[in-house]
Amino acid sequence: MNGTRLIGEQAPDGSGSIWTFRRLMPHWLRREPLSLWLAAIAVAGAAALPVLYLVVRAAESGESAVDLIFDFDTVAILWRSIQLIVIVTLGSVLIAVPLAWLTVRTDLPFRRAWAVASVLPLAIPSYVGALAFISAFGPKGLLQGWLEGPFGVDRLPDLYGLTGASVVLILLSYPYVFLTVRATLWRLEPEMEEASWSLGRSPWQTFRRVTLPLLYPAIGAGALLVALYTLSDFGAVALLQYDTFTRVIFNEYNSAFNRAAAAALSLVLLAVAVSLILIEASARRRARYYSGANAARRRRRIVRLGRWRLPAFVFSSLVTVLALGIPVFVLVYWLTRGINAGESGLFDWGAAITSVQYSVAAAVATVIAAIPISVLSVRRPGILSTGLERFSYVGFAMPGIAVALGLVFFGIRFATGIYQTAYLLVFAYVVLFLPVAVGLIRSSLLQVNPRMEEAAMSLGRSRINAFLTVTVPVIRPGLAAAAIMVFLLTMKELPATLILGPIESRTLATSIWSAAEEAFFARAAAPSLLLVIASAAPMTFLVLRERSRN
Amino acid sequence: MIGLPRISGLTGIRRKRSESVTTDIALRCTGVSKTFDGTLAVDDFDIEVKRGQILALVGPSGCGKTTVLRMIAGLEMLDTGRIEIGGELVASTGRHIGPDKRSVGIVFQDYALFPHMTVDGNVGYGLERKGKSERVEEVLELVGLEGLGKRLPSELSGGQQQRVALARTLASKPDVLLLDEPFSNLDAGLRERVRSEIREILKAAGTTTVFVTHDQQEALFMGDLVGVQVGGRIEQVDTPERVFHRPATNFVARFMGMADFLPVDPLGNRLVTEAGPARAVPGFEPPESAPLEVMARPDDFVLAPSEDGQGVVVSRVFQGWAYTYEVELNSGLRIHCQMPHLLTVEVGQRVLVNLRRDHPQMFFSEGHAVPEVPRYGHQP
Repeated sequence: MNGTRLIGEQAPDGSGSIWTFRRLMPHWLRREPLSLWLAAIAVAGAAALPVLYLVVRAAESGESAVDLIFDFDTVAILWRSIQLIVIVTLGSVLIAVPLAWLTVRTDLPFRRAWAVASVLPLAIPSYVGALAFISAFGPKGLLQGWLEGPFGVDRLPDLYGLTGASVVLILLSYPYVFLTVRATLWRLEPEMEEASWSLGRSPWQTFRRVTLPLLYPAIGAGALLVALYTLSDFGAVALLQYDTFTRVIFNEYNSAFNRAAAAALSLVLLAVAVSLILIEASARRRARYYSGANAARRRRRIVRLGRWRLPAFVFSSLVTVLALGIPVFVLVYWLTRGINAGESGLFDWGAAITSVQYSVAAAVATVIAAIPISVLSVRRPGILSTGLERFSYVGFAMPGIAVALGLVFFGIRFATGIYQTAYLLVFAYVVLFLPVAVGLIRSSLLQVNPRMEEAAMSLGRSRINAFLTVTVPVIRPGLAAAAIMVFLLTMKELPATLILGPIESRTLATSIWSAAEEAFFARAAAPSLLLVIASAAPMTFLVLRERSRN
Repeated sequence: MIGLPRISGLTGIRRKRSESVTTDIALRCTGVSKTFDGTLAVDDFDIEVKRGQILALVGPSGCGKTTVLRMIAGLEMLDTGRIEIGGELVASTGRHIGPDKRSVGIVFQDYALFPHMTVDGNVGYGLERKGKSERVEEVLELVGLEGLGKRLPSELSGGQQQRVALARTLASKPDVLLLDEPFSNLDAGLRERVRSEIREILKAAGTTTVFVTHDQQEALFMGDLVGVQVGGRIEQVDTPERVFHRPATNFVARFMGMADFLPVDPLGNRLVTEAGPARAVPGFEPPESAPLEVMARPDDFVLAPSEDGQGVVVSRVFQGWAYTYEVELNSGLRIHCQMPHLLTVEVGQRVLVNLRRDHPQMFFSEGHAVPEVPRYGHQP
């Protein structure tokens, strides 16, 4: 389409088949290129494959699946899962929002360092985090060991169950909220807050009545990610012995070999995920505002914390020590012990390289797949585009194991050519992490004034060209954040890699798992550290780059 | 409502009002300077605005006028100087009263309406709960938006958003209202209407206003006082008429409207220029040795086609009621003459140009008016 022709107008000769077809489409569908809609539908359809498998499996088992869904145990599992989700989501928001505000807007000492440190827990897989916490605070753990000598402490408060799972998951997942809130804080027009100050409101009132409401969409998006992450987490709940859906499903599948039950429970899990998505969507309904074109024009004022500087510093330090310091310390401790004991082959470089290769491929593929859905849901909110976006979220709520099993089924029946190759594995990653990419790209697109793209088109650029030359540079931070998030999640992903990975291929995640299964902590420590470092490096780069931009 | 002194009676949540202070100067800036990254943005800025007056600050972009506004609002800290509002010192070196504690309201160029609040929510934002809805209604009526209180800002036109922003600021009755290029986001047709409406609203509310613009016409129309700013300095402050007709400097003369400067050769008591003799006020004393120029606006010339004329028409602009001719004189100097449309002269035609002698002209020497015009004129 060239820029001089009106959108949706017929081709000059009026005969092109695409144009004839376009004229038959409803107006709202015609506003965006057909190819974009087709791409979005294809991506959402692919993301739906695993669900298809679950339905088929559950249907094959007939009535017993229905009985199982309405079983008393299922209700108990549901209740436990909801408790965990509510606690972890609230906890994450309560940590992340103040931390994001402190690191963007205040004279908090070392705020750059805190900004980096506050994102790094994302580099720690939940199974590594849980192992580290058990090793540090569990019965016969490091802390108890130290306290036993001088103080005679032989029992610490019980870490297992809801308490431990909540603490570990909050500390590992609050960065989701931190990242979305921080990105939005950078882009808010300073004039909004200045207007509030000049209307006589104190900085605190301004925060509560202007800044915070403007952050609700970002908090909502981040909270949804945390809730879905919690729902689908397997590592932490398994190690901390809290029976949520994922742990029960895994046991049904792995120990009881009851695939029908696993499929039926996964469908309930899916229903919970869909409910979460609907709750967030209804809250978001009115929040479709973008900031003006000149948002970051003026240097923003830094809030002086004054006597609150010390408490803020203590708060930031505490979060970082708990979420980052303790796991890293425990890993280093185990690695040192392993080295001192003369263990060999602690570092598996081949696995590290394979991990990075898979993760880069997954990051690129996922971001590309996420763009059509993000663009349509922001620019053309409607039944179809919103539906596509919601559908793409499903992958995140599905435990990795369910997605992996769905694709095994698909691979064996329809795609033997790519079954047990890296292609199908990367495809699984795309399905799993698409919602993360969509969430991040969406938030940054929400801040882009669509008039800019229209201006470019009026200057003779095609729609694609306008998108690439105007919108993409503006949302580049969002795209980069999305790619890096997918990279990290892929590095950490365990069940999908175990089930779909090519035979013979070893990644850091599978190395850690096999070592952890044999309770070989020293052997788990080295790949864990490598994994943490490999995922931490790009993230540090991302956060530090903000400095040059702002 | 934490930690703010409540004011009795009316509306604003804000601070003490200055009704008790017995001064009719609402705003006074003395020697205010501000440096950004080594560049002097505002340099020794002085201004005085009386209660209820509108000051239009005009100047080319980058002259520091918005910075002045932001310092008055308390959004920037000054380096040196003093700012007093209603007789109370709000800013000086080492003293800075926050924007929330000053009785100053600012309307931003792009309005900065809160997108998550309705019009009512926006307008009532700076008000105490008590009497809020009455005051919101009253102000919305003042700006002509009654009945739109339940809308969101995104559901309003640009002109309506502008008036919401104004209403939001007027609601808490600030001692000083600041407007930053308020009409630059409106289209031309709307702009003329909106600016006269807003002038009426401001006058009806009796609000002391500082208004920043880069458009001279807007400044001349809006201001009771016009301040011309360049390079961070105030070049002249006076009534619109005096700033236009009695500019203190060359720059002001050129900035406020088209002006040509012709070299003057004092011959005895005659002031001879290339466009004939110029008329001065009685008792005019040309400087002893410095070069002298006369300022001429396009309507200060008469032009007639003549083969013996001293100029040639090089271009012609049709303005409906008149033509403006650009004429190149024999010396190479180009001047601009405006003539009624009844007379049409073609480009290339030789013309005779003379200064009108029905009123005295302004004279300049080395960029300054002769005799000197004070930078700070008489208050109206």
